[in-house]
Amino acid sequence: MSSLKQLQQKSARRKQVYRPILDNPYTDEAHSWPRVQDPAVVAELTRTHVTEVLRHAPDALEAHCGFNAVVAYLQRAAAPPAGAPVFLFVCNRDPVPGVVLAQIPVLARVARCEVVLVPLPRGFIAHLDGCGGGRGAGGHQGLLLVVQNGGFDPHFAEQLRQRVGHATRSPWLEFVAARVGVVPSEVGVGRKASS
Amino acid sequence: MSLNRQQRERFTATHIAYKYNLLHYLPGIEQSQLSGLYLKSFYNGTKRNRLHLPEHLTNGTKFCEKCGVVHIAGLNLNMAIVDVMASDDESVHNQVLEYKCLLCGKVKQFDIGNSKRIESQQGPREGFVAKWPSGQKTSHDAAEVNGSQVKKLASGKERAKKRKMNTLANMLSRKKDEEANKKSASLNLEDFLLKR
Repeated sequence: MSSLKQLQQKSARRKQVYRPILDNPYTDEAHSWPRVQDPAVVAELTRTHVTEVLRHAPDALEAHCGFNAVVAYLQRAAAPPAGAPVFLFVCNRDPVPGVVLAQIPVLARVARCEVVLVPLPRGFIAHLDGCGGGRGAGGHQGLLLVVQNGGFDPHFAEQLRQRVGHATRSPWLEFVAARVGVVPSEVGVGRKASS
Repeated sequence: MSLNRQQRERFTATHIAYKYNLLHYLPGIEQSQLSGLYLKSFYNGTKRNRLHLPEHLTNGTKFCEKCGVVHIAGLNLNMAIVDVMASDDESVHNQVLEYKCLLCGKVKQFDIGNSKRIESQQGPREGFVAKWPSGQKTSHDAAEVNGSQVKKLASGKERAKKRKMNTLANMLSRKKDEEANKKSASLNLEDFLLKR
């Protein structure tokens, strides 16, 4: 016979999610988003240098807003000599569905161009509303990608790079380094028997 | 060999982490055809140790539900947000996130909760959407429906707020405010004119 308290304890134990799996150093999912020093300063800089600029002059910067546009850009981005570095601003603390942002850090690491992930503080998503090129509020899913080309202020880029920690390297996403020698055998099975 | 609790937990952690890491190792060595086997083994391990995994590991976000490969966007996964017509109402478009595994071709849709109406529709639809918190209907609800104006029921918080506003002290203060307003209104030009 079990008391009510025991039953409650049992159910609480059953509901407990196993978190250590996310902290293991190989995959390191707990630190997939980089750390930001002075989030308020970064948000203010982003607001004045990116979102306000885009709102008043949409053609001033090469920007891609919204999930589909960002994903498409990152997937076809070229390697460094041709592809300029990009800044990817993500409102990951706002109520954006988790499944939408789940692959973004992975994509940023896999992309061939240099991607600086900039997580923005809570409540910033409202500033992105006017930047989507005529799309309504919420059409951007909290994602804005800006290419660092001629129109982009280099001073601002330097400031951002200083404050946003580099995304931690994930060994499982570095394909060339992680590859072990799995090569098909050149010696046929039948040849040995014939010789 | 019997382990004490701490040893058992450590063993579980290393055991599960090993299986989990193996799964992530496979795309790097281009042996993704094994991932279904490894994923099954990982799930079996968590089941044996009675662990509850975070939701994104089990709902098809992280691993493909058919072939078990770790999703890596751009490498073995295509993803896009698409509009899908709701089955019951064709004027409502639901936004869903579509994952397509490039290895096995499995398409998985996640509802991301954004629904939008087509703009061309004339005026707001006077439809009745059943959103009862519980199954029972009260006569109060029925009366509201009959009035052809479906009002959203005030939530408990709002009702509590209303109740709080109706206390005696609040009513007195409101009356005081009104009187004060009247006094200040006497500075109006009209009031001066009326007096003279």
